[in-house]
Amino acid sequence: MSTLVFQNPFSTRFVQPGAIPWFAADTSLSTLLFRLYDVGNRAIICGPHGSGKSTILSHLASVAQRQGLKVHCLRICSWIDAIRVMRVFATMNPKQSIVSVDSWELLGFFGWFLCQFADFRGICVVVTVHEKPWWNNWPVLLHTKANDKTFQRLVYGLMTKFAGSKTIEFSNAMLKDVFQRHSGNLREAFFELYDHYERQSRRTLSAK
Amino acid sequence: MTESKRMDQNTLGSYRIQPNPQINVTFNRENIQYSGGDHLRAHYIVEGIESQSISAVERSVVWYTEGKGEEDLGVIFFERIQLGRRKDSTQISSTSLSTDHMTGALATELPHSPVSYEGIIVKIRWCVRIRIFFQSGRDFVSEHIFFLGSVPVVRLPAKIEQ
Amino acid sequence: MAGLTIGVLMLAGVAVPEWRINNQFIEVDGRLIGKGLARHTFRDVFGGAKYSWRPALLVQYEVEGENVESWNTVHSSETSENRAFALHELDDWELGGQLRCWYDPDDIKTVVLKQGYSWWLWLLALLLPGALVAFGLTGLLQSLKSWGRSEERQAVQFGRIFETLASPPSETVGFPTIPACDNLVNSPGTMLRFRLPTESPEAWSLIGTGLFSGLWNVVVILLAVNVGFDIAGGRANLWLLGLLAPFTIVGLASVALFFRRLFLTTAIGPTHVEISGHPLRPGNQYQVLLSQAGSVSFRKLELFLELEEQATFRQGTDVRTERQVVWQSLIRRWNNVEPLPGTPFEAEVQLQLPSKAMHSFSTTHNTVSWRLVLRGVPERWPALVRVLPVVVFPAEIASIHGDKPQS
Repeated sequence: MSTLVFQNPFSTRFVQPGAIPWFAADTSLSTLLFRLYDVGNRAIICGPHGSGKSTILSHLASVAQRQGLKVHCLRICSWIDAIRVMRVFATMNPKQSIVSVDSWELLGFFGWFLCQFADFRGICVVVTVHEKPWWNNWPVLLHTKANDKTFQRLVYGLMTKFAGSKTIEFSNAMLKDVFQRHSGNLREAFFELYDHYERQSRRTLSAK
Repeated sequence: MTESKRMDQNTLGSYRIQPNPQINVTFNRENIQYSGGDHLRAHYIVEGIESQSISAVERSVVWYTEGKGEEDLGVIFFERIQLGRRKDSTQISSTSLSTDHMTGALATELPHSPVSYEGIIVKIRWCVRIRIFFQSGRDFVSEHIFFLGSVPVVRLPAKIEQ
Repeated sequence: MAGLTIGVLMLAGVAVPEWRINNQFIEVDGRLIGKGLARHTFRDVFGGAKYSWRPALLVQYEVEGENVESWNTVHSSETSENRAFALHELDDWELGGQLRCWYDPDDIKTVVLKQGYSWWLWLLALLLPGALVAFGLTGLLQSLKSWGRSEERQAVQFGRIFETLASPPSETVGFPTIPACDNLVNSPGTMLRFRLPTESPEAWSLIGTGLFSGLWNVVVILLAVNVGFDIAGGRANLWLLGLLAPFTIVGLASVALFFRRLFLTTAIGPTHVEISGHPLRPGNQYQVLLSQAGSVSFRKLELFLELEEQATFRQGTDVRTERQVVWQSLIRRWNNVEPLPGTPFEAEVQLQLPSKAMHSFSTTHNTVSWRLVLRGVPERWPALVRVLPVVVFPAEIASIHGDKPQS
C-alpha cells in the first residue's frame, strides 16, 4: 500500500510567527530596526489580533541577532510573567542586548513598573500590544494591519513552498471572502484555509 | 536505497547570505517503509558548498506533529559533529566526513510508537534531519521523511458505518 | 533572583534569629525587677502623632558572675493602641518573681523569655521566595532553551527538565507517546475482565453548577445578614439593599438549575460498561457489556466507537483546543428501550477494532484518542452522551496485561 503525505501549507509550523515571511511596501526590517534606535531604543508594535505583530517581532529579532546583538525573546501569558521580564531586565547588558516582549499588555500594572525600569536601565526593548496603553509613553514603531492583497500573497507563497498537492487552488475571490469574514485576522483566516485544504486533499484522494 | 522526499528550510528565511547546500539522503529500505523494531540506516551527501564553510553538522532521527496544534517533537537519535580547526587554521575533518564532499551515515533502531499518521488536524511525521551549521552563524536544515507503521490516511469523517 | 533575594532576606531576618534563640542562647534563672510599657510613635502625613503600646519587662540575670539588667518586650503580647489594655497584660507578671530566660552569648544584653518557632513565619519565609524562585527557574530554563541551539538538540538536552516542569501526559512505560492506561485497567468488572470509567460531560456540568450555586448563595446569605443587621440597627444601606434583589434572583435560579441537573443525572442513571480486554489492539475482537441504569425510557440508544483528534494551539494571548472526530463506527443501535422497574438495561455486543487502526497518542499539544460513546435520546429528557475512553496499542506490541484477546 502506497503511503501518502498530506502536507498542509497552513499547518501551524508553516504559519506561526517566525516561520511566515513579513513584507511591507514601504519599509524593511532593517529600516525598522534603525527606526527603533532613532526613537530611543524602546518602542511598541501595535495592531489588532492576527495582523502580524508576533511575526514582525520574530523577524526583527533575527535581524538584530545578525547584527551581533544578544536577543531575549519573551512571550507573556499572564501578569505572573512580569517576574521573568524583571529578571531579564535586571541581568542583561543593555549595550549588547535587545529584548522583544510579545503581548505586553497582559502584564497589567507591572507593565508600567517595568517600563520605568527599562527606561532607567536604558534597555533596548520592543513590545507588542493590541492598543497602546495610556500609561506607556514609548513611541509606536509600527501599526500592523493586514490587507487582502498581503493575505493573498502569503497564501500563494505558502502554497508554492509547502503544498503537498499541486492540484488544489484557491481563487482570489474566495481568499478575499475568507479574509473579510475574519475581519483581517490572518491567523483565523489561515485556520479556515487549513480546513479547506484538508477537505480538498481528501476529496481528491477519494476520487482516485 | 531510495532518495526520499526532501524539505529544506533556511532558518533565516529569505535572507540568503550564501547558496544553500543540496543534501541527499538514501535509506536502506527502497519504499522507506519501516515497522517498530526495524533498523533504520541512512546515508547522506552534502553538496554545493565548501567544506571550510561548515562549523558543525547535526544528524538526527525525529518524529514531529504537524497540523493545527503546536508542534511536538521526539528525538530518538541525535549526533552533533563539531568541526574544529588546528592552530595553523586548517580544518580538522571528522572521520565520517570527507574533505571533497560531505558524506555521512547514521543508524538506529526504531521504536514501536508513535507510528506515522496522516490525520486531519493532527499528523505525525518521521524524518531524518541533517542540519548544517556554517561559520557565519546561520544554519540550514534538510528533512527527509520516512514511514513507520502502516496506518492508512484518515478519510473525511464518514457517515455512520455498520 | 527576586525569590532568592527575598528568601535570603527572610531567612536572615526571621529564620536565622529564631534558630539562634532555640539553639545558641544560654538558659539562665532571672528575676523580674521592673515592668513598663514600650511606646511606639507613628506620624501621619499631616504631622499628627499616634501611639501604640507594648508591655515590657526588666529582667535581672547573672552572666559569669556579673549582674546584667535588660528590658524585654513580652513575647506573647501584640502592640496595642489601647494603653489600658497593654497595662492589663502586665498584671500576669509579679515583681520579684523568678523567671526562666535565655540570653545571647554574643550580646549578653539581649534576652528572651520564651523559646520556640513561629511556624507561619517559616512558611512565609519559604513559600513566597520559593514561588518566585520556581517562576524564575522556569524562565531561566526557557531562556536556556532558546540560546542558539537546534530544536532537536534542545529536545535531547533539556527535554527531561521541561517535561518535569510542564507536566506532560503520563506515558505507558517503554511505549513513548502512548498514554498510560493504569487508571483504565485497575477496576475489575463483574462479568467481563475490566470495567471502564466514564468521562461524563454532564457530571462536570453538575459539579460546576453546584459549586457556582453554593458560592453564590453564600454571598447572598452574607449580604442578606448584613442588610438585616443594618435594618435592625435603624440604618438602611441603599447600595446593599439594591444589590440584594438581583443577587437573590440569580442565587435562586442557580439552585433551581442545579437541582434540575441533579434530577436529570440521577433519573437517567449511571452507565456501566465492561470489556473483555484492555488495552485494545488493532484487528482484535472484544466482548463489551453495557448496562444503563435508571427508569427513563429511550427512543434510541446507540453505542459508537470513535477516534478523536485534539490539537492545542495559541491564538495570540489565548490557548485554544480544537477537537474533531475523524472516524466513527456504530457498534449497535437499540430502539424503544424501556427498562423494567428496578432493573437496568443490559446488552452484550462484539467490538471489532480495524486491523490498521491508529494507536492512542498523547503529547503536550496533540492527542489521538479512542473512545466508546453511548448516545441516547430519552423520552422527554435532554439527550444523553456518555464517553468511555479506551487505549489502543500498536498492532505489533505484545500484551502487557496478560490478557488473551479474542481474534
